[in-house]
Order: sequence, then C-alpha cells, then structure tokens
Amino acid sequence: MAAAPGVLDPADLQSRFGQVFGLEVRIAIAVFAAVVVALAVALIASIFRQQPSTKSKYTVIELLFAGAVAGVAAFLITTSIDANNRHAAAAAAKHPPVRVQVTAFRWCWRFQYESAPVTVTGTCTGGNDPKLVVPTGVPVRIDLTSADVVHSMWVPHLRFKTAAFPDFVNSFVMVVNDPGHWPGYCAEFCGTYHYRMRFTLDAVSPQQYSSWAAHGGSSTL
Amino acid sequence: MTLIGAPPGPLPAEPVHRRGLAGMLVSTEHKTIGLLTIGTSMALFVAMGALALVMRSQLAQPDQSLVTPHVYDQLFTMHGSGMIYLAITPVAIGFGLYLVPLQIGAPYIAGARVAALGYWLYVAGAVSMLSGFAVGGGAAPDGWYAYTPLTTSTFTPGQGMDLWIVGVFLSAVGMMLEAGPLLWTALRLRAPGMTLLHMPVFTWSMVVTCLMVLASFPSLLVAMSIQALGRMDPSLFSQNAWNIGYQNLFWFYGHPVVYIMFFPFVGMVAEVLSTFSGRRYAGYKPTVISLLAFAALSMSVWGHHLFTTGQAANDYYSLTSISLSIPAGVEYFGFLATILGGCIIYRTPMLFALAFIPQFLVGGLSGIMLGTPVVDYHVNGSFFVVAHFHYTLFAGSVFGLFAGFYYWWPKATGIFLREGLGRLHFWLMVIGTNVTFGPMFAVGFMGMPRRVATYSASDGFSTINLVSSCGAAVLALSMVVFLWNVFTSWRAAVPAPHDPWSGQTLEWATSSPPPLFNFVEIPPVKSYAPLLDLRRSTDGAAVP
Repeated sequence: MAAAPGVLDPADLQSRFGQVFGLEVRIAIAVFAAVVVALAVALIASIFRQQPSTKSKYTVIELLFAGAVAGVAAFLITTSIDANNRHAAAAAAKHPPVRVQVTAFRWCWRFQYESAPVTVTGTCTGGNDPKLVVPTGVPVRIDLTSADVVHSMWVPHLRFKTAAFPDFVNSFVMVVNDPGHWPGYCAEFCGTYHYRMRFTLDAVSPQQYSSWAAHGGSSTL
Repeated sequence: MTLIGAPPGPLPAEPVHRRGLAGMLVSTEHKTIGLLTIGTSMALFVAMGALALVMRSQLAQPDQSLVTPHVYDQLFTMHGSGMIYLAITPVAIGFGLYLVPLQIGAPYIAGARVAALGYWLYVAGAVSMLSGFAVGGGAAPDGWYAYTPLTTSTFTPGQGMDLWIVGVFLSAVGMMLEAGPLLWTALRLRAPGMTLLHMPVFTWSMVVTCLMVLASFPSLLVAMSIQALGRMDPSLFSQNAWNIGYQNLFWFYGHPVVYIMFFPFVGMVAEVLSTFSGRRYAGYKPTVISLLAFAALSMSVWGHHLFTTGQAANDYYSLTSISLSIPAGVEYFGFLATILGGCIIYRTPMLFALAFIPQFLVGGLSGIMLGTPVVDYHVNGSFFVVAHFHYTLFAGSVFGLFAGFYYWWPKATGIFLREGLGRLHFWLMVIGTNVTFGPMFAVGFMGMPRRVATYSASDGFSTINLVSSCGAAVLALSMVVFLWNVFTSWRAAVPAPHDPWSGQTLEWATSSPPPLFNFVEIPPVKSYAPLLDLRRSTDGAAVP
C-alpha cells in the first residue's frame, strides 16, 4: 500500500486528506456524543439521587479508560504518520515533467515555468490575479520561495498549502486530475494587502497546456 | 493575635497595608495584588473584546472598508496579543495569587515584593503595547506571533511595533515575577496537614501553571530580543536561519502559554463541579498526575505550529501533539465521574462549569485534527484554526473563568452577585459563543484565510460570516449583562456569609472577605476536601 519512493501515489493530496479528515471527524463526533450522553445521564440521574455518592476513587475504570484513550491516540498517530509519509513519497518524484518556480512577494505571485519557458505574474489589484496554468493528469512540481517576508501558498481545492520563506525553497508535487479553475490564497499574514494576494489554479488538458506554453503563456486560453 | 496552624517561624514585618487608593497601589498583601491583577486584566479583556467587535462588523459582509486594512491589521494584532499577554494569562495568575494562600492555609505569599513588582511591570507592559494606538503609524499590525522578517523595521516601520515588543517583554517578566512567588508559596507555606496531595485541584492547577510559566517564558524573552534586533538590523532576516529560529523560539513559549491559559480554569471548573455536586472531586490523584504529565508534554509539541514550514520534524510533533489527548481524557474522566455521582445544584457558577465540558471538547477534538499534518496542510492559517482556539480559549477557558468569578466573588467581596442576571449572562454567552465560532470551522475549511481585512463576494464566505457576526453581537450583549450584574450587585450589597455554597476547601473557613492574615483558626486538614470531611464527621457519616 505504501508508495515506492519516487513514484507518485495514485491517491492524490485531496483523497488522502479526505480519508484522514473523514476518520478524525467520525472519531470526534463519537467522542463528543459520548461526553454529551454522560453529561445528560449525570444531570438526569441527579434528579433521582437522594445523597451524593461518597466514592472518590475509580482506579480500575480510570486505568481502563486511559488505556482506551491511549489506544485511540496510538491509532491516530500511526494513521497521521503513515499519511504524511505518503505525502512525502509523492513529493519525491525526481523528474516531473512540469516544474514551476513560484515566488511570493508583497503582494502577489510570480510563476516561472522551467520547462516552457514562461513567466506569469500580476499585481493582484482589481482582478489582475495571476493564473497558475497546469496540465491535468501530469505531475507538476512547485518550488516555492519568497522575495521578502514569509507567505504561504494555499489552494483549498487541493487541500494543501506550504510556506514561502525568503532564502529557502519548499517543494511539493501535485497532480490535478480534472480540468477546472480554483482560487488560491496567501495563508500567512504578510502585511497590508495580504487579503487580496490571490491567484487562480487553472488546470487544462495537456494539449491546451502545450499550446498555451508555446504561445508564451498568453492569458487567453 | 495568634494564628493557629500558621507555618513555624516568626511572622515577618506586617505587610505594607495602608488604607485607601494609595495603600492599594503599594500593597504587598497577596489578596490586594491578586485583585489588582484580576481587575486590570478583566478591564483589558473587555477592551480587547471591543476590538473584535469592530472586526466582526467589518467581516459581516464582503468587500467592506469600515476600517482601512492597516487599521484592521492593528485590531487583530492587539486583540490577539492583548487577550493573551494582557488579559487571560494575568487573570489566571491573579486568581492564583488571591486563592492559593487561602486554599493551602497560608497567611501571606512568599516573595510578596517580587509579586507586587510583577504586577507593576505587567501594567507598564500593557501601557507600552497599547500606546502604539497613539503614535503615528498606529499600533503593532503584524499579528500576535509577529513573524520575522515582516516585523523588521524594513517592512513595519514606526514606533508602534517597537512599543509592542517592549510591552510584551515587560508584561512577560511581570508574569514571571508573579508566578515564581506563587509557586514558592504553594511549595513552602502550606499549613500543617496540608501535604502536597491534600492541596485542592485548583491549587495544583496553579502549581503546574507556574512551572510552565517559568519554563517557557524565558524563550519569549529571547524571541522578543530577536525582534528588537530586527528593528535595528533587518538584514539579519534575509537569512533563513533567523526566521525559522525565531518561529521555533516563539512557539516554544507559544504552545505552553495556551496551557497556562487553560489549566487554571480546569482547576476552577473542578472546584465548582465538586461543590455543586455535593461530593469531593473524583479521581484526584490521576488528575494531579495528568496535570503534571500534560504540562511536561505540552513543552514538546510546539512544532505543530511549524507543520507547513517544511522545516520541522512533522511526524515527531504529530506524535507528541496527539498524545496530549491522553492526559486530557483523564481530566475529563474526573469531571464526569464527579458529576455522575452528584446531587447537582444549578447556580450560575455550575452552569458555566457544565457548559465548559462539551464546549472545550470541541476545541480539543479540533486540536487533534490540527495535530495531524495531512489535515493541517489544508486548514492551517485559515478560520478553522481561529475556530479551534476560540473554542479552547473562549468556549473553554473564559467559561471556566466566569465559573470561578461567580463562585469566588462572594468570598472576595462579602456580597452576592445576582443569580437571575447571572443566568441571563450565561445563556446569552452560550448562544453567542457557539453562533460566533461554530461557523468559523466551516468557512475556514472552505478556504477563508485568517487575518484578512475583507473577502470577495465571489468567495462564497458571506453568509457564514454574517451569521458569525450576529453571534458576536449576542456575545457583546452577554458581556453588557455581566457588567450590569457587577454594577447593580455592588450597589445592592447583599451580604454573603463565609461559606455560601457549602464549599470543601479552606478558603470557605474564613470570613468573606478574609482578614489580613487570612485565618484566625485553620480547621484540621485530612484530605483535599477538609471542610467536607468536617461536615461528614459532625454528621456522623463515613468520611471516605
């Protein structure tokens, strides 16, 4: 089940997130429900109780309970570490066909396509948000850095973000399976216009991507 | 005057205790220092809350400019840092200063002058931070954790940031100087019979809190010194090591501080739950052990704030962070076991304590999600995180704070707060809290980053934000009701006896308010619920 190093796991960022988050939400709902039920039982039982209980030690039950919580925690820890390792394996693809250097700056984005060569940028004012065009079904590596302060590149649709530090590069590999366009945001406060430091992730068919790149990355697709 | 049960050794010179306002300001008496700290921090709590109200007004609709983005940035920065450095941390320590000597049967605190100095440094720090609003360029605008290089003089010119850095430093030193004497008091000034394992749960929660303050606050002082370097030589932060180094130093403090802002209120809730269930707290020893373990473990999780940096060992921090659920679970066992066997009396303190139980849990469970890197890569830096920490700190700690406030107010003042207004305050606060912060989980998940002055109509965040802002209005109303309760109760001055709630711990064995050296006579202490033992033995019932 674990991906071999360098080979992309077919389960992309989105579904891995979905599995882990879905599991944690279900466990959270179960725990919350159990506590609410215990609370309700306490309040209702109190109505019928003549005297408060004088017992104050519940050692055996408490040990069993702590053991059960530890068991759930251990399960969640292994799930968490396993999922994170798959993310890391996916990011280890050595020579993905499309590689984009992304530079975050105050207050917009610059996308420099290594393979194209194309550079897309904008001012992020009045609808001038740059588009990150990628082909569908193809691994795309993003090498992210900052020209000034710490930013963060977030595409909610991908369920993924990573930080942009000056003097440092964070890399990740994504595969977008279906065409479409989705908003991207800066997710680390970076100053006055942080709120409008946006971009669009635009996934198109590999043929459209090739012709877009051949035309120098013009904005009309 | 004889003090039966006072610690051995001669009494020191009588503490400085002059009458009137001047007397209050130079006092080295622990109840006065405690009340000064609580009063100052609660006033700042209300003020910082008002800042949030402006933010929620702006965010109620898309594309708003009620305030400029730069002003909005000052609002969230001062709201966050004001709440953490100037309100919740000090109020927790203030309650400790007031109550711990009473709970352990001590006549005074150790290091009283140090504690008094601590209060005044905290005030100086508050003045410094807030005076940023009065300078050209405004107050600090870069968030409560103030990442470099954004906070260097290159990207954040102006004195507001300088004043903030100095203010954080001073108030942090102030809190250390209050916490150290408090810890020393609990360890060295306990009355005969008051062994460590006879200390009440609240006192234990304060001991553990003070340990965390002393262990983690120095890291904040170093982090603020690095900030100061950045004001003078911004070029340092063109090197990655300084930026990631700052984040590590900051969060080494920044994670324990949230437990510093949590444990005292856990202690308050534990006391209130047991008193209004009519029985001693269940699972005392496991709770003490879990508080100590929880505190120690909390020093090892800070990297979960760095999951998206690509510069932390995410698996290790995920392991330690998720492990926090184990001591937390033990504490929940104690809460539930106590009330499950109780005869519950629904006074205002108990209402807040009962609501704490499910509400904090929402914060805790969402914390497990944030402690999972694969999930955090999506929701970090979004309103999901804002929802998480408001559930732990507001729906949790602040509810615990009000439980403690309504519980101990009669002891400190000798008068009652009005019960009807207390209940109205409670219900408005429950509704307001959940309507404000619940929806934030959703809008964060959908893609709304935090610290945004506004958002677009096309984002799809509008309806949820409107609902959340309506909740904030209800919250504001609940605070008005609370303040009205305090005001009218003070005027009415209905007298409270020394033990209005049938309390179990030593503070209820002295007058309301307590006299200068706290006790004329200390009852025998045979467990962590000495007054309950006394009542049971005079009833002829078995003392467990």
